[in-house]
Amino acid sequence: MSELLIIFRKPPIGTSWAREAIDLALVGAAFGQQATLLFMGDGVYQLLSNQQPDQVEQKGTQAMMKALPMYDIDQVFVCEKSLSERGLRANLLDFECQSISQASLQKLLNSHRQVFNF
Amino acid sequence: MKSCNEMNYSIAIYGGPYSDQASLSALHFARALLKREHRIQRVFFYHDGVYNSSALVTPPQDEINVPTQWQTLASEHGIELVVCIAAAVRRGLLDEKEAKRYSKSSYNLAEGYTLSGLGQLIDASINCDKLITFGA
Amino acid sequence: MQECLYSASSGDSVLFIEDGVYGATSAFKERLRDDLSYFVLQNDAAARGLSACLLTGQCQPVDYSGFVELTEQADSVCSWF
Repeated sequence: MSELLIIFRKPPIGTSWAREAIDLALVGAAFGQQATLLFMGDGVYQLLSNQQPDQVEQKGTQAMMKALPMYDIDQVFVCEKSLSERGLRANLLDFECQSISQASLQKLLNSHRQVFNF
Repeated sequence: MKSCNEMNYSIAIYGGPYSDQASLSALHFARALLKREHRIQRVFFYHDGVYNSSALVTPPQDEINVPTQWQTLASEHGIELVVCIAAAVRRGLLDEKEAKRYSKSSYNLAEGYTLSGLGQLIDASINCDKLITFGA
Repeated sequence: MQECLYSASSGDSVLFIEDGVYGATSAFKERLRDDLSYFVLQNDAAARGLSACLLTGQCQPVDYSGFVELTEQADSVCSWF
């Protein structure tokens, strides 16, 4: 079971939350903590493909997201309800992630002692 | 009132002083922890929370000085005040060493605060009984 | 608030603090699931002029010491902001 759960709930670009949250995931992994990521609420927008952060002189989090497997982070979940509420489907997303129901999401939170919520 | 089991806590703060309640809430919470005889190992400042560590914070005389309050509490109770170095340097909060490294003419990290990596936040979440976050 | 209540498991405790205390007002009481326990930080409610008559009776008022007590009792604590 993974030790560290990081929840991403803020949209990208407008604030630095997305970048600072993924920084924490990578540092956690570097510290030998098995990390699981969960995208919910507006955080699901972080997963959209075709983001061009350079249009507003930002680096975005895409490169870091693509590096996740190198850090052995392969447990990436997205809240099914958050996607559907925003008219999004998994095929619009840039990353391999597993879409989960409310019951599985609650179980995910319950099974982690270390939860970081951004 | 004494609690039955003394625990080791750490606190994370993501909000800047004066723009956000986070740091003040955390101060109240920290004092309540100590009153219930818990130990606070570390306060970690991340995101805009790093602004709490500026030595140049100058509120009007009738408002409390948040960085000073943390300094006092920390020195009285042996609490580490750790500021995320990456988040801080980006936002212009430097200690003497970082100022030298980046050839800046001055530095502004308040006394009692230490710049360190995010690993210190991970460490707190692993090794403390509880990590309580005050977001923004 | 929505995301917090969506993610909570039956039996969890929810404490409203800072601007979150508005979630403890009667206007939002329909949103409160009945399988959770609710608390509101009275310092934050009072600071915002939310007197007892504006708060839903489902939320038990606590002070900072009560806040600490809730964290003592919880296996894990997660902040939603």
